[in-house]
Amino acid sequence: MKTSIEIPVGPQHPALHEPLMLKVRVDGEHVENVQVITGYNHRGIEKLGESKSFLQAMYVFGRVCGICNIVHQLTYVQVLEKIGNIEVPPRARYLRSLVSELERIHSHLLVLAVEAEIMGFQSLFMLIMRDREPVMKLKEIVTGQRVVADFMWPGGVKRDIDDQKIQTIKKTLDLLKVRMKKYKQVFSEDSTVLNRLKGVGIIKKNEAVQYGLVGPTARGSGVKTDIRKDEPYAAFGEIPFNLITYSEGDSWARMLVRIDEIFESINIIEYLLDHLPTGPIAPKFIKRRYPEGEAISRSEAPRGELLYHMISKGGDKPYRVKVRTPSFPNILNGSRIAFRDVVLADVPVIFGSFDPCISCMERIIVVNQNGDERIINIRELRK
Amino acid sequence: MSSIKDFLIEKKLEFSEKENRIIVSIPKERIKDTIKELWNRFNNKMYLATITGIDYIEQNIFEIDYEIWFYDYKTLLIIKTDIPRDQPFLDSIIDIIPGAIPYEQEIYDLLGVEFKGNKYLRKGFFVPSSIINVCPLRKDWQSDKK
Repeated sequence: MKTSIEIPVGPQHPALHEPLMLKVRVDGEHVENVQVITGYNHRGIEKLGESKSFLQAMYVFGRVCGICNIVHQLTYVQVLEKIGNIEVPPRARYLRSLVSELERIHSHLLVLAVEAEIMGFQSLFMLIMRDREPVMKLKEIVTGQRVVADFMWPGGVKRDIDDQKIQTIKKTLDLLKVRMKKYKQVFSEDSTVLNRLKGVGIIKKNEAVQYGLVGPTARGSGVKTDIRKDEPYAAFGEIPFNLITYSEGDSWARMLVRIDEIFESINIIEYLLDHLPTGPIAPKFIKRRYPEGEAISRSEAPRGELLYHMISKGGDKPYRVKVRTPSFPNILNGSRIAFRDVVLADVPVIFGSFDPCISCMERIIVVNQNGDERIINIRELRK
Repeated sequence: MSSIKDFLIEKKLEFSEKENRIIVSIPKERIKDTIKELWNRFNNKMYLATITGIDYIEQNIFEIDYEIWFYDYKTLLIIKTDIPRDQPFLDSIIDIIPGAIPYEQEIYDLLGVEFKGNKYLRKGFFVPSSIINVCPLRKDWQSDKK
């Protein structure tokens, strides 16, 4: 007799570090269906952005995600620069690319560590997290902040770097490169990793296109997509680097894309530091009012394509800001196709291989309790 | 890029260009057919980047923008359509592009536009079930009431 039961994974669960629920329907160990339940962490950011001035909203959108805050703020100021016709000085463009790549390295290291932990490989988790910290430190050296950087201005960046900082960055990345070679060997050869990741959660190339997957999740299925190449922004149009793709489409390929991208990011940073132009890093005056207009800006966040669509009706406030984060299609659409022919123990591993970022995906929550309409935060929501 | 323009000329659609963007406005009745023909012609060469819903309360319309990226042509096609605010209905495209499911769900939940044919639509998808009767992204709804 065939019987199936439903197992909730989340919203707070050891295998998922963020508030999201997977309703997994299983028949024995075999997974029949996975349903993603969202709505635990909405913060009303798109609506909030409409009530703030252009510059205040810059700080709001810089807080959509803690891990990839640089790229959110960068994409937001890029959309302002398009509407306001603002030129960015070359040195500022190079510094923008530099911090974006530092962010990509520490974000990729984080998901490699988390995936190792989910696999039950605790020592690998510890080692990767140890090597992530110096990169966070580099981010602090360049931007002044370890996590939420607030590094961008419309038309430039806020802080410059000097020779001493350049030497520190190069020295730290030299050590990371050596360590990353070791981690690549572990992910390519270790039997624990291969048994847990190889052939698990396969997404075919045509499915990745149909479901609009982006970033390393799509590149792991062989889709050649990278906004740094497709629609170069900051200084990426002037930097030689390789587009990493793997054709396997499984969880292992998605992790290997990220490992190879860390090597590419290190090379990009070395190139940027060797070719850093001189000159100003920001305009003399920061524009506060913007003309009427509409613009779309895209950039390659660590998790994939990030898209901002802004409508301005003139004045000092945006009329509408749409944010499409990479985790949105990757989590919601990826979950529709990746959980086929898998067992229950594979579910967190596959989900982790999407590099899910719930705070990126969920941005809007407006709660009406007893007739009071207000925006609430996650702490209140948990009570 | 020229093949996309050829397609739009063939369909007698007026479009404008800006950098690597092509912007085209289509009446709501033709949205589904146009996207279907586009998908058949450029199969596996394009993906739906997002759907944006905008509330133009002064004109009494919702504007729905379909943003489609073409991998080979490095071009973003923006298909715009208007629907009246008092009749917020539009044909769903999920049977053509399954990747549209969460975008339509988000617009339904936050802006209150119903996509006919999308069985996955539900209120409370992004906002908690206690506020199912409001559409937070509509301009006539303000969150700062005390």
